[in-house]
Amino acid sequence: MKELLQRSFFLQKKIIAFEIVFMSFLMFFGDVFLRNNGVFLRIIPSLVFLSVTYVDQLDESTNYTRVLNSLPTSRKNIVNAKYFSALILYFFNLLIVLGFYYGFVSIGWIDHYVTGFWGGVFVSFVISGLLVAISIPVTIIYSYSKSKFINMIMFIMMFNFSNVIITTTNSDTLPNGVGYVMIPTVLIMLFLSRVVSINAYLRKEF
Amino acid sequence: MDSILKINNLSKKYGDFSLENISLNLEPGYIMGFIGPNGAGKTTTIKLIMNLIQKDSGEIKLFGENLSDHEVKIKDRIGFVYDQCSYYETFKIKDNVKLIAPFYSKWNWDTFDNYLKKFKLNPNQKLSQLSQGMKIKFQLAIALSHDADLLLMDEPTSGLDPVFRSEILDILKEYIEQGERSVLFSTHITTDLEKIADYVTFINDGQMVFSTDKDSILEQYAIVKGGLELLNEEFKTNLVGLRKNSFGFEGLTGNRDRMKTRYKEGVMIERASLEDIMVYTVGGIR
Repeated sequence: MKELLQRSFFLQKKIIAFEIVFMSFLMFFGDVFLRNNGVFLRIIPSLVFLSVTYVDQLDESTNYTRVLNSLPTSRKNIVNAKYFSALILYFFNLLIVLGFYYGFVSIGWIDHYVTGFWGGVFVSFVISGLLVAISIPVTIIYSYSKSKFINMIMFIMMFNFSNVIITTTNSDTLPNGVGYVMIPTVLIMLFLSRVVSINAYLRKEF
Repeated sequence: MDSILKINNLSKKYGDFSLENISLNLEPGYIMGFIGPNGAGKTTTIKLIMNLIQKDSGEIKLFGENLSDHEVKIKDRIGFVYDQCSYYETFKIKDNVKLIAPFYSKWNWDTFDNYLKKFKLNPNQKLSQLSQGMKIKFQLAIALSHDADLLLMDEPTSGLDPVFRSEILDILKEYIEQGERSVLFSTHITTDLEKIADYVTFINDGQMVFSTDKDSILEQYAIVKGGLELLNEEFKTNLVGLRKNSFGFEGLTGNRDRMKTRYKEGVMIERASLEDIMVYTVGGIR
C-alpha cells in the first residue's frame, strides 16, 4: 500500500504544487480583497477530483496499468490506494487552506473569521466524498477515456449540489441536523463504491 | 525441485480469438523459447501467466504455487519485459525506477546501476528520448535488478538490430548460469532461439503444436525435397507442410526417421531450422 500511495503522490506532485499556488491565490483574492467568504473551500473537491483522475489519465494513456498489474501487489491494494490517496489529498488540501487562512488572519490580512468556514469545510468533504465515490468505479468500469464525459457532468452537478447543501445547512456554524446525516451517508457511499470498484477491478483485463 | 512454470490445459476465449489447451513445463536452469506467428496467442499466454487477463480453464503454477493464491509473493520473483514499453514516457529513467523499486522485496540499486552502465543508459534521460532497443534494455535492467527467478519476455528482440539481440542473448545465458533461474522468451525470430533455447513451445492459431526440448525437435523434423511424381496421398500424410514448384516439391516432415527408412531413394532429407518448422506448419499443405 505504501508504495502505491508513494506512486500516486509522485505522479501528482506537479498538481499538488499547482494546488498550493492556486489556493493561496484564491484565498488572497477571494477572501482578502473580495471578502467572498470561504469560496476557496468549495474549490477543494475540484482539486481532489483533478488529482485522482490525473493519475488514471496518465496510467491509461501510457498503458501503465499493464506494468502496475505485473508488479508484486494485489488488485485490491491498487483500488484501496485510489481511495486512500483521495482521502489524504482531501486533508492535504484542507491543511493548506487552514494554513493560509490562519496565516492571513495572524498577519491581519483577514481581520475577521470567515463566516461559514466550518460549514464550508463540511461541504467540501461531502462533495469530495461524492465525487470520489462515483468517479473511481465509473473510471474503472468504463476506462478513463470513456468515462470522461460522465465524470464531467457529475462534476458540474456536484458543484451545483454544493449550493443546495449550503442553503440546507447552517453555513455560519457547524452543520445542523441535515449535515450530520450527510456525513455518514457519504461514508457509506464511499464504502459501497470501494466494494463495487474492487469487484470491477478484479474482473478487469489489461 | 518444483517447476518454475507449469501450465496445464490453459484455455481462454479472448474476443474472436481462442487459446486452447496450452500446456508447458519449465524447469529451473533452462531457457524456453515460445514461438508462433503474429496472433498465435503468445502475448495472450504471457498475459494469462501474469494474471493480466483471466483464464477460462486450466491451471497455471509458478514455483509450485497457484498464482491466484499467492500473487504478490509470486510476482516478486518474476522479472518481465514486454514488447511495448508501458512505463511513463515523459519521465526520466531514474523517476520511472523510483516508482517501481519499492514494490520489490529484493530490489538492488547497485545491480540496477551496473546494468544502466552496461547498457549505456543515462538515468537522467526521458524514456521518450530512447530508441526501441534502449527501451528494451531499460525494461531488462529493471527485470534483472530484483533477483527474479523467472524472466518473462514478450518479443523482446523484435525490431532490434543483430548486435543488440546478441547482447541480450548473452545476458540471458549469464542469467540462468547458476541453474536456479529460468527464462520464457516469446519471439518470432527463431534464429535467436536456436542459439540459446533449451526448450521450445510452438503455438499456432491458439493451438499447441509442441512443447519439448529443442534438440528433439530438430531431430524429429526435417526438410524433404523431391520430384512431383512422389507426391501421392500416402506420401503427403508424412508431411506437415508442403510447397510445390515446377521442378518438384519441398516439404516438412515431423517424422524424419520414418521418412528416411521408407523413402530411401528419390528424396533429399535436410536439417530443418525452427524457422522452417514454423513457416511450414503455419503454411500447411498447399
